[in-house]
Amino acid sequence: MAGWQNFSRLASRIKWAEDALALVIFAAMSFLPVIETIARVFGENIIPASQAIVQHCTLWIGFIGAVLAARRNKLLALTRQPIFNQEMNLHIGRWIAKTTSLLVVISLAWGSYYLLTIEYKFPFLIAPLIPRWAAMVIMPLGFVMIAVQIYMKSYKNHLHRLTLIIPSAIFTTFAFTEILNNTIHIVWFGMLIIFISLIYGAPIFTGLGGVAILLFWNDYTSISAIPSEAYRIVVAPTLPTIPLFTLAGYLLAESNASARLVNVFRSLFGWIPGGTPVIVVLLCSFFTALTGGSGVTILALGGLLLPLLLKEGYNKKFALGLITVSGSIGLLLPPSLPAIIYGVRAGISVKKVFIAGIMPGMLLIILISIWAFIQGRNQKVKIHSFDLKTAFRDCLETGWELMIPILILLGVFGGYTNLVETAAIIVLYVFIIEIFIYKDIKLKQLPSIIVDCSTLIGGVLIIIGIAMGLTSYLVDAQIPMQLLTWVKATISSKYIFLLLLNIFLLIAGCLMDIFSAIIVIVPLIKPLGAHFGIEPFHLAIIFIANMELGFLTPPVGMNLFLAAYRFNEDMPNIYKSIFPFFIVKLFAVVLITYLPIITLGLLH
Amino acid sequence: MKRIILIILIASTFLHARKIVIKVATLAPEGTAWHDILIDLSQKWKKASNGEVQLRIYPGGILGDERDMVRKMRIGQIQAAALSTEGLSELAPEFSAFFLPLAYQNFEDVNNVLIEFLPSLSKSMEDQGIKLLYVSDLSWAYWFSTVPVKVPADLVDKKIFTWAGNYEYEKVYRQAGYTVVPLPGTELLSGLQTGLINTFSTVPLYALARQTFGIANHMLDMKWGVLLAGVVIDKKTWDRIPKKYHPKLIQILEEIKKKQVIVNRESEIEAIEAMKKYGLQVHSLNIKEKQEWMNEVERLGPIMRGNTLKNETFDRVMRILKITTNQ
Repeated sequence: MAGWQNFSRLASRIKWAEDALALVIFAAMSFLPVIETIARVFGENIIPASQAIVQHCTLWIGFIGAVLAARRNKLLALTRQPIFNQEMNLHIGRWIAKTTSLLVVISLAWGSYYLLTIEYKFPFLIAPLIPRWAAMVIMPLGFVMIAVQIYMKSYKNHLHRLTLIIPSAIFTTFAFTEILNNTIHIVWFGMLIIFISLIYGAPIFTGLGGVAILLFWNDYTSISAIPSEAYRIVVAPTLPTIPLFTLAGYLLAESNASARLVNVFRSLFGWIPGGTPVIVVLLCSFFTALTGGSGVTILALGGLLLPLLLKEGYNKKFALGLITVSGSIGLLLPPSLPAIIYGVRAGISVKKVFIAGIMPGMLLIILISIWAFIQGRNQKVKIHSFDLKTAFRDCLETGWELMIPILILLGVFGGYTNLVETAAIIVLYVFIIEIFIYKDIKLKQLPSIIVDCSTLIGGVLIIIGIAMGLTSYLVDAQIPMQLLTWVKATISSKYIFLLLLNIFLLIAGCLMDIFSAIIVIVPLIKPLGAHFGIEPFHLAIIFIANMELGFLTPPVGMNLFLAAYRFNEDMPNIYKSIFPFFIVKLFAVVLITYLPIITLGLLH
Repeated sequence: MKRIILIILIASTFLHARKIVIKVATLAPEGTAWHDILIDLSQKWKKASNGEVQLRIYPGGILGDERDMVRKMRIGQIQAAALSTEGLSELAPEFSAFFLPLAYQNFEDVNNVLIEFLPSLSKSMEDQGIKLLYVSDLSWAYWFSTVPVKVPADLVDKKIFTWAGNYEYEKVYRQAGYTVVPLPGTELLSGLQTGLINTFSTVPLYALARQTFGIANHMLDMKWGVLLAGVVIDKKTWDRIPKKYHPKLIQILEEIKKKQVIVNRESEIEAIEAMKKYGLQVHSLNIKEKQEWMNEVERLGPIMRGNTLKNETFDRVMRILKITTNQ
């Protein structure tokens, strides 16, 4: 019994250490770039290699976040029902899902360990006194911790848990003897198992990782290729913007910013008949853009906006659909996370993707607003009268928050800061206004907000990293080149290509989450776009606009899950409610695809 | 048990009979002179080895930057890479001798240092299980800027681009009193457009490819640095190629190298001419201005020595180059 007590004391200490580490890393990530910016103004150099340090902070926050997500059973999966909840009974489908997840995570831990030993052999300093291997320690460590969490959270019963070990042992034996390599049946069988696991709720990253492991293994290539690619994308110079913008979004979501923003928009636009739906669209786009489209809009604003719409007399189906759709509209506006990931993956300027996204983003907002306005007028609703004094007062009260988009645009176009520095400044700005000016958030709430935020980021970054490992196989097998040859031979018209691209991306959007879709698909379509003379930035916007639709496409559209979760509705109800909006958005996507001027107008 | 051994035996004989596929990664995009060499090499090697050795080329950095390529070679995902000084110096830090600014003023300088360094460079690579097949000069790096830069003093109020992730160079520039802004290569052009940076040094081919000449339309005609190119291969893979082919394969490489050096030098001039057509202004220096740069380099020397390159490497380069200049 004493042993058990020791163990639980150790467990709670580890838990404390994980949380504390997340806090420290976030502090470093937010402060270093700001110090760097200030130092540059004065021509001083305070911290050498601060950029490299911040980039590796992303790696650490990604892995710690993933461990936190595993601990809290919040790793992103295709099911609403999480599977690592210390189940009491053995369900065969979920057992397969759990076993596969454990197996994949252990293999990835082994792969990262091997990578670490190689880096250790050839030390390289990323910053004074910090060799690269030291920064990479978190990779095997993180996977091991995830494996432990998955194992402990799998079943309540010890014996049930032990059953997970058996297939792992068998598999490992086969893996080391290399007897079964190069037998394609094993690959197909493995894929089938992974597919079943995903259906029963295995985390998305283990599905991607599992497929990558199978393919590399079949090709006699070390599975260290996967963590090595994960490292490469996660420490990319622009990637620290993702945790930073997400944190800024989380701080805003936890404050009363949403209520203040509703007031502003209502006093400005509430006098329009059918204006409230338009307000919802504007507000959600605004909020999504501010938070980088990390999916917090529905969670943060849903509780406020749904009662508002219902009270004014709109029917529930319309209200649900409107909010669910509006949650993804801002994705084309800076600082959208998909735009950042796209730019990094395609090797094109993220800033330019932002610029390219502004007009199409506006177009989407306008089209959805018109539809909402027409719908709103048909339903009998209250109208607010316009009062200049109230409008002015509300604007003044929300002034600090209304400044945020201006600051972001200044950061992107002003030439004073790079993207990471902009993101860090926004984090500090939001932190200061919400804690010291509006006093919505108390300092002691901060740790739990940061832990929540890290959980979300970890879930996303690990998908991005592992998806990168999978694409690495596709590139390795020269699939993009083969695809290009095939397309060159079969399709001659640019417009047919664009049409097929739309259809393909829609299907991909239904089946994959947006992050892994960008990582996996971009290298495939980039050479095709170049072949058909489509501007890389136009291609980026076509891609993201299609994926926005994907956010709303059953079965895995992320916003559908979030809405179902937030409003406690069944998925089919959500599907029905978004249908008309889906059609409007589809129309917008078609316009964006076939009229490049919408995208490229601002760029030229 | 017998059966397992049998399977392994069959599998291993099968392995030996298989063609040797060498995956080669490079940053050079398709259609460039460097990519053409690799294709040429792959065809000639295949012919010379009766189809046993096959090169599979991954151009345009689709496998990552040069440090990623080196990592992939070490874990065995690829077997070879065509690298520039950046990747070569990850394999053998002595290669950073070629990062010294203004040290090399002609191809002879480069050659003299290369010849002297080659044995130790090859050896430190062999110790890591990597064989250096080919190394030569690729191009010169020049200063490009939005307003003319003619003397070192002109650099002081400029915002200089450096590659994100290369903190040692950042440090040298900063210690010398310059303002640097580390950015990923993809943000070079947008950084110039927004004014986050306004000056950078690079090879003309890169400036042309990134289309920076529209904004940074001033080039200083002074050889600031030299960029090398090399091909490395995993030693185990090289040893798996039957010995009888080795001399032939090496000979092919040497032939290609001779041809390539000329092509490289021509394509540099072509790139500058192409940019001139789009309004690039090339500024040349008078003797006094040249002397100012030389003084500046003397000031930079002690900062670089022991920082970006080891003391003995630095001293060795200086010694070799002094000998050549005295002759």
